[in-house]
Amino acid sequence: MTTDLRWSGLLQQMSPTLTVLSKDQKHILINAAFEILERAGNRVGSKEALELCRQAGCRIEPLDDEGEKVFFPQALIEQCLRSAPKRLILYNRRGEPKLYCEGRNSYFSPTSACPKMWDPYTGVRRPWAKADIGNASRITDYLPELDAMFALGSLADDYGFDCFVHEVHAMMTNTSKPIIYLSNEVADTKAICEMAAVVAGGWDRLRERPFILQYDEVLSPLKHKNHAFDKFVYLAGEGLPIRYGAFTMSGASSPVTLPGAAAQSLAEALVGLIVCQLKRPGVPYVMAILPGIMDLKYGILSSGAAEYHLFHAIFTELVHELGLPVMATAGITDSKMLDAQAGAETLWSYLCAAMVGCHLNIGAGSLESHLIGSFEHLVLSNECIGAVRRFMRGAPIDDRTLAMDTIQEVADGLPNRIFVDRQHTMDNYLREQWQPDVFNRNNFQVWTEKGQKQTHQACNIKVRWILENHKPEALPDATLQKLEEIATAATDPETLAVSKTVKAQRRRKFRAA
Amino acid sequence: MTINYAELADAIVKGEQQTATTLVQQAVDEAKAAGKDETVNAKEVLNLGLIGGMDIISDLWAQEKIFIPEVLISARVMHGCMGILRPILEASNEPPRGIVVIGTVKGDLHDIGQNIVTMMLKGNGFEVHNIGPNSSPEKFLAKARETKANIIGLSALLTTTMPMQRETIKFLEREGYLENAAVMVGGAPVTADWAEKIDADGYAPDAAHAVKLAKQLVDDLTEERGGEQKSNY
Repeated sequence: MTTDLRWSGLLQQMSPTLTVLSKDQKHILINAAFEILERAGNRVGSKEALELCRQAGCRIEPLDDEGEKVFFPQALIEQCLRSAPKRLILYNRRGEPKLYCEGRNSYFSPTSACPKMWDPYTGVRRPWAKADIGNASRITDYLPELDAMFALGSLADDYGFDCFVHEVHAMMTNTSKPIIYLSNEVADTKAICEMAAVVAGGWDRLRERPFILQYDEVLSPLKHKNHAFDKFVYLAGEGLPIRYGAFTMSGASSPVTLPGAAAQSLAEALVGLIVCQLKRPGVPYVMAILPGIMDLKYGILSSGAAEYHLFHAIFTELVHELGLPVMATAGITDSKMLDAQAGAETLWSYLCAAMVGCHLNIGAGSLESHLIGSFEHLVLSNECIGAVRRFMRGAPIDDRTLAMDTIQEVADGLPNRIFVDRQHTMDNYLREQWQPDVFNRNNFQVWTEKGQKQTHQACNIKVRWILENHKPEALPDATLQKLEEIATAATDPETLAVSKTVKAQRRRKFRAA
Repeated sequence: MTINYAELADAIVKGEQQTATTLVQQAVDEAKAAGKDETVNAKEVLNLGLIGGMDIISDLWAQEKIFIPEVLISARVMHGCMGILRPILEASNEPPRGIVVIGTVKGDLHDIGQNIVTMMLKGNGFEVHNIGPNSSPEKFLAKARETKANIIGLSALLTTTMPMQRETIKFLEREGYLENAAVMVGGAPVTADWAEKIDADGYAPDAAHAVKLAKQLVDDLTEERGGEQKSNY
């Protein structure tokens, strides 16, 4: 009966999908965002960005030393939405297309700027060194389910505001995967793009096949950093992709209720889109969010909250409705260690992100809500994403998967015949069943014989194995030398000197409350 | 009729501005009419009523029975009542519990955390001057000198701006301001070991601890000066 339909191509196939808003609800929120842009006003400080807005007919009111209040007319918003590309392809270092940010595709990468890390060898929580960013990149390079690299740690203690060039330097030389990067202002952004152009084989090649993506955040509520928009004007001028959106804390920097928080966050991300499209219509732009929840008991940003995943899904659906590339943070835990809480929060987050179809999800490797970097969490993330991706493949139905012939075969051999030794099983089990790497399925005796390793120990062993065995594809010596020169030139020797002097002139007893 | 301090404390706890203000104004008016020492009376209203209420709030928060919004609303009510008491206490040259200059360091535009700490400190009797985000070491010093602050609060949210906390401390030290003032630092990425490394005098991981720390630092400074009497104002 169904066979005819299967062969006629009329069969509709399903994969798991998460929808949290109706079409009507999406349009209410999108219109609310437009209203925020038109009537509430956003503070913009960048002179170039303000000039672009002025020329485009925005109403501008004076606000304070840091900027002016800009009101965007509906027609302008719509014009910019039309000129923004509806998809973004990120390439790897070799120029091969890797991340198709379109449709319901989901990709995953580490987060960035964790101030501390767990040392995988000593178990000590300590600051980052440049070699650690290189190691995080090598681990990400190795792990198949991590699709792009983001620095994971911060080198600010050693390099001050020059740290971003060094973070990119460490990433670029230790992984060929696409790179997401932070930067401070136009000068270091230029240095980073120059490095990328060296690796790509020229600026035109980089523009054509971008493997780096700029990351910056809104200063919620409704404020936009001068440096960020100066950078965007530069990058848009160069035609290089930008990712921008709110680092929101629902309850502190946006309403405690998610619809209001989502409408505000959407409006904030659209301000960046408008500025970039005004500078250069058609420049690739990714709408983004860090859908944080302000825990009002402790006053911290929670990334493991139930509302976080709902917020992530709402925002993603709104951007899908606008038909633009979307990026959000996911896979982050509030836990300080790789424990049960970390496992639960991580998997749930990745599952929601994939089911709602958010294109780019950053967060692997982070504990304590972005405050501690953990190489073991990269491995745990790889495991969770692997499982989620299997789940997302769903159960397509055809003659092969329905296996009617094999069922008949077993029936013919009853009572003793089973499926384990059938050819169909042999031919299909590897593609059908996902195999865990660090999650343990042994029975108690075997698990005991193998040392009763718990997940965090298995992840640590894997981390050490990767660090000791994985050699990422090396760049040519001439390229390496050029990158080294750019990184060195972008470093203020005074900052380096300052960071090395640790003086101890206690005036009085140190107090830690 | 004399003021019922339990009633005033209760108004603070419940966040009822109008009730609290009315009770405080009544107490002030009655003391004046009765020829009572206005300063002594104001101190009594402050300690038994306002601080009494905030102490209950602090306990409830410590027990995790209430959340930050309740604490901030009570702090706002307490601060509102201080508007009535402050002129009286100032006229008598009664020094406040502590004078705080707080801000986010230069290069850092995030101010939500320090705004919460500001409200908490104000709600606990500190005189707080919030100079906002992106504040240079010079701006901290100028405001501290102008207000005779004994506590400087430096906030940073970014790993890149944490070193500016160190630069600001160095600057204040070079200018000789830290002989009689203490520096406290905070912000999401800031840790106790970082604070100690950059020669801050204290570190608090959140707003509740920041209040405790500020009280502790004031006590330390008082002790350094030879242990004058502690004030709640």
